[in-house]
Amino acid sequence: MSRKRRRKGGGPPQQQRQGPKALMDIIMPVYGEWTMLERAISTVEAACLGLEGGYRIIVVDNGTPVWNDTDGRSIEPREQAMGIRELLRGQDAFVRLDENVGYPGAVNHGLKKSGSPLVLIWTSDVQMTPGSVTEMVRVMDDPEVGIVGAKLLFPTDESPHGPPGSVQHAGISFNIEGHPFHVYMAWPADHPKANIQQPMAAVTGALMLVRRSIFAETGGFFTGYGGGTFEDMDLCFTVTQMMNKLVMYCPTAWGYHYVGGSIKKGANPQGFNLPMNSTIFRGRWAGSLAWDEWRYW
Amino acid sequence: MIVLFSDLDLKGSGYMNITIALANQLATRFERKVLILGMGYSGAAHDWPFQIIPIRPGQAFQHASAMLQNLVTLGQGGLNDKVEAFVCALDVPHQEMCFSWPIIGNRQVPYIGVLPIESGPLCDTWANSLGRLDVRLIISQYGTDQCEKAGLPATHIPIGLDTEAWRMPLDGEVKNLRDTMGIEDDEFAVLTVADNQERKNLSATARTIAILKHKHKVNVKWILVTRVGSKVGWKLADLAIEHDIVDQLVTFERGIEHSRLWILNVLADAFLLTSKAEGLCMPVIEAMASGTPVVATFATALIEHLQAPDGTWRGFPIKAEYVYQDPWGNSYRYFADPEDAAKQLKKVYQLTKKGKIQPYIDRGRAYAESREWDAAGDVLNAAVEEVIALHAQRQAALEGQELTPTLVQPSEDEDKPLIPPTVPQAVPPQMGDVNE
Repeated sequence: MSRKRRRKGGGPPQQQRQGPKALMDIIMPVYGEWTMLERAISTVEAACLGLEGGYRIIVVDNGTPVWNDTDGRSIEPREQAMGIRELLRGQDAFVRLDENVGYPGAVNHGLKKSGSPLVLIWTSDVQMTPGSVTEMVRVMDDPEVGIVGAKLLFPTDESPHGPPGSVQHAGISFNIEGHPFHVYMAWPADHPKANIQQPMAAVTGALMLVRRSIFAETGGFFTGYGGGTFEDMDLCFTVTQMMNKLVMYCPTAWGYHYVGGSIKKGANPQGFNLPMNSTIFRGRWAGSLAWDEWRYW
Repeated sequence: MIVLFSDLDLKGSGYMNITIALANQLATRFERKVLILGMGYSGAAHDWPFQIIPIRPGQAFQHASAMLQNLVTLGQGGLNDKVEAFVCALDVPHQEMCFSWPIIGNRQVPYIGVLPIESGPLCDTWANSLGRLDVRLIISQYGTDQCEKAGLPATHIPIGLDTEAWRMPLDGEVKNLRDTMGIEDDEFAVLTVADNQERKNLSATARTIAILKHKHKVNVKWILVTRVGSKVGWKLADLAIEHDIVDQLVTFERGIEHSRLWILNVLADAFLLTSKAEGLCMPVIEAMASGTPVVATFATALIEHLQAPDGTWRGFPIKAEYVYQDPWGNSYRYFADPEDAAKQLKKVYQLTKKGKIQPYIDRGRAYAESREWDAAGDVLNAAVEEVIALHAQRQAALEGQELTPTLVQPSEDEDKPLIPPTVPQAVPPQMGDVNE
């Protein structure tokens, strides 16, 4: 859906589209999944309903290569991104990277373009419901909170990874072996336990609201995780263990996560090296790992 | 907080039903905080008023040990509720594995065992092991008696049943269900639920069906719920060919939903079990609750289901053909006589034809209804209170506080040995006549 058409449909009030100085920057990395990103962006305005201070979108093209269409015609990245560029407003930004630097690296490039007090990391395979981002910002009213995560559900239209409409993410906990897992995965979305706003060890980087001051101190995501995975938990542990802030799960902010949808075009052809990243993570945070699942089950 | 540890495999674990119901009792009736360490529980959603932490198979006992230790530490540190008691609902060998846990060995938390004694006699090795439990709750009267015979104090915890879920069929319901399942009016449907094929002696069940078909000329259909492809089970298709009952056999994989299992129960004309020994056997009580006449081996805990204390029959007993001593705690196994089993099934068949089966059904149903979970909850809660008091005494002793001395009275039966000799009962139990 184009921006123009959304406006025709009686979109949100104009004050949502304020100038360059916004309360929040939304960083959206992408690698070729333009349609997925378009869908995600189409939910941004509504997700920010009632948000005072406005937002900026910063799309980071993470080295999308030249594609060949079905007729064998080469399509340059710039041409591929035309639809997305049309969706963006004047105050938004589009950053083109010549090569894929992995998810953490792409976010860090986006951070260089941002200057707002809050930063929302938003993966292209996430679509949020109206008012959700505003809810997350509300949680940030508490100065003790450093990061806010949302409730993400498996999509209702295509859901190869879990029961449609059930919980995909409601925070991350650690089992007795010190391994992380998504709590309440596949539980009904309206289950009371999955709808408690509470501090967690970590939340997913698929959708994560972070204070800019935190990124200012860390310099962004830790890029030692290569293509990605575990950089989100690493940041959360930095926040809770070194900055003495809370990582909060906010269930009133919710949307759908098309798990794996952002890497269908081969953003990470070697696949995510989970064992290696797990080892790196445990090596960095072994002293802080604690069995905490007893709090949630 | 009470911590329970058990097998919560949702695919047919008898322990799951018992543990969930007992946890529910403690949480709802006695308002205790309850947490279950659930072996085999995958983390599926639930609405029960207690917590369940999944424990993956493989390293279950190490993980459960670590979790219990951590929960106790958290409670002592005021970060979580204090662990008041540990309740383990598992077989004897698994209870023994818990003894190696430091937290149990050091008696940092009182320990209640909920367990079956499948058959007697209870060997001294197991009796000595179970003596380390603070309280032993045995899930059958038979098992409790075996403990007592071995000089081991034990309490019978009368496991209950949800007789609303396991209800009698309504008028016309049986015919509809049989039609749906393709069972003809003139077919005599026999249901067997056998998770552990070896202990249920499934080859004897197959022989029974064959005798019923070939010798007694009954048009039988055998509905079997089991681990169909079990590597350590019978090759069922071969068994059916061998006994010429291929057309009779219908199999279902174990772990089917209770509602479907209830359907199989109510459409069946009889429930057949040729078990060699049973610690309780819920499927028998479930069949009785569903109004299905039960034919089962007259041995161990099955006896108390089949026959009331006044001698009245609720089911149809199968004589044991011979007895064998098993490596499972050196206890005895009773091998049902297929000829007698077929004879009992024929009796059910004839009584049904003549419209005279109802008294058995009524008595079976009444027996099932008498098994209420509240009774089991009362027993468990009393045990919890007992061990909490016991633990407080131990703690006080450790802290050097003055205790009320307990005077040990000399026994009036000093001449009798403290632990009576366990006399092997290598003969099948006498069951008397089964005439109605």
